Amino acid sequence: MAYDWQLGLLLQYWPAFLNGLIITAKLTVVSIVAGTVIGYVLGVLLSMKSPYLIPVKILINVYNALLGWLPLLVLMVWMYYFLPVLFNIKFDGLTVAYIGLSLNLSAFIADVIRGAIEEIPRSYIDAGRAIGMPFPLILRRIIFPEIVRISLPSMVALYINQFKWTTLASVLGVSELLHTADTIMIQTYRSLEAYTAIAVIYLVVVGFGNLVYMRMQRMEFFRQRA
Amino acid sequence: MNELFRLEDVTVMYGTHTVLKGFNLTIFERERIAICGPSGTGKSTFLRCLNLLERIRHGVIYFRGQKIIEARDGNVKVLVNENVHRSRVGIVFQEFNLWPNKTILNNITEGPIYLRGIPAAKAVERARELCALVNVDPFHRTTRGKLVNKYPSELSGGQRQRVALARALAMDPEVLLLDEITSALDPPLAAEILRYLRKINETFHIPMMLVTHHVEFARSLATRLLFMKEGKVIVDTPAAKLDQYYDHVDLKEYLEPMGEDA
Repeated sequence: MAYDWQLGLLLQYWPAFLNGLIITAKLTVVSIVAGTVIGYVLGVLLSMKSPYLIPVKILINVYNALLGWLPLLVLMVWMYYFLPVLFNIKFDGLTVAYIGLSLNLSAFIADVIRGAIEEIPRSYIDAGRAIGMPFPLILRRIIFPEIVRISLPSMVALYINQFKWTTLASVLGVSELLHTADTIMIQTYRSLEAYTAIAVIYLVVVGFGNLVYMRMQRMEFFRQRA
Repeated sequence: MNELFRLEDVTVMYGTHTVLKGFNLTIFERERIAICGPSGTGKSTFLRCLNLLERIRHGVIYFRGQKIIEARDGNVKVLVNENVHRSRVGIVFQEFNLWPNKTILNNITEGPIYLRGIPAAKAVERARELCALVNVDPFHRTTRGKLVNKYPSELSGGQRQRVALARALAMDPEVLLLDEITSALDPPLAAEILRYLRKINETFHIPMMLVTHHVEFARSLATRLLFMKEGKVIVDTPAAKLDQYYDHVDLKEYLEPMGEDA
């Protein structure tokens, strides 16, 4: 027997879907901004050669390893349930989701940024020094734009993934898209329709993101290497 | 003739390896110097010292009679504003070193705009003139100047090296140091670069110092030739009198006829 789709039933829930999409978007955007800022700082620190920074770099590497090895879901559940027990620090689900998603992204971005900085040939800096550019100007006009250029495609790939990672917040009761589908399923018993609807939303958003990503990869500006 | 650079007892070391040893040399304005010699004899290091990109370990360097750097056994004192000095002494490298994230035009205008504070419109106009001089978009006034809006990776090696020359000239340097600028290019392209160097020389009458493997190339452009070996100058001769050295044991391999090279 063919399944009897009742998509019409979902239409009345559009405000709930919209609300879920907005929360998902918020989680994505906030964690991208925070994760990028933290990741940039860590990446720059990791790429610096000063011997004074060795202890700092060890700490950052431990941080990166911890976040890289721990499944994000485990980290978020742990922060949600055990921070209150151990340290008497209580966050609501949304805050834990913000923190977990941001920290997780920052570890990946730190790696990308460190890699990008190491990829910049010394000769570009020399070319700046050779015409008499002071170091702050070289940093601003040569190194920074080059970091952005080298790292942006990888960053966009990470950002697209970040949109998908937000589903984990549903476990903490944050009513983003997946959690919205859960709720609608409980109210209507139309689980297939509810999950199909959000699947379509994810496909559209991620698909669009991927188009942007593929487009960037083909752009001469991002392709060229030394 | 006024003196341009004077080096007194200059020593440069990389770790424990001595690159230049007690180097003494005076270079005059209006000279065009070619420096030849085997790899690893300190030719490039010598040029980089003049631009203060490399630190000397011992000795003194003067620029137009003014002491710019003084060092005694590793105790280095820079006596001028380094960045100002570097902007007066243009240098072009073997590997072009164009900035990949900037268009050709922006590569050339970067220094004039952000260092010299020249208005963008004026810097662009001047960049287009220099591009035309080295045959990058020579007809920019009548056809759309497309090359200048491209990124370095879209240009050929010869074109990129010509842009690097334009970029150095855009800073209005008082001397042009050319560090093996043809070594990464095929002989016909190298010959082309030579043509543009002649043109640049006729246009600006700028002193030049070039490091090169091609003696013929050197001879056709330079007024004075230096041969270096193991961190020292072994032959220092006016270009016209190079023939006297045909029997010199260290020069033999360089003075062999080189066919269509250079």
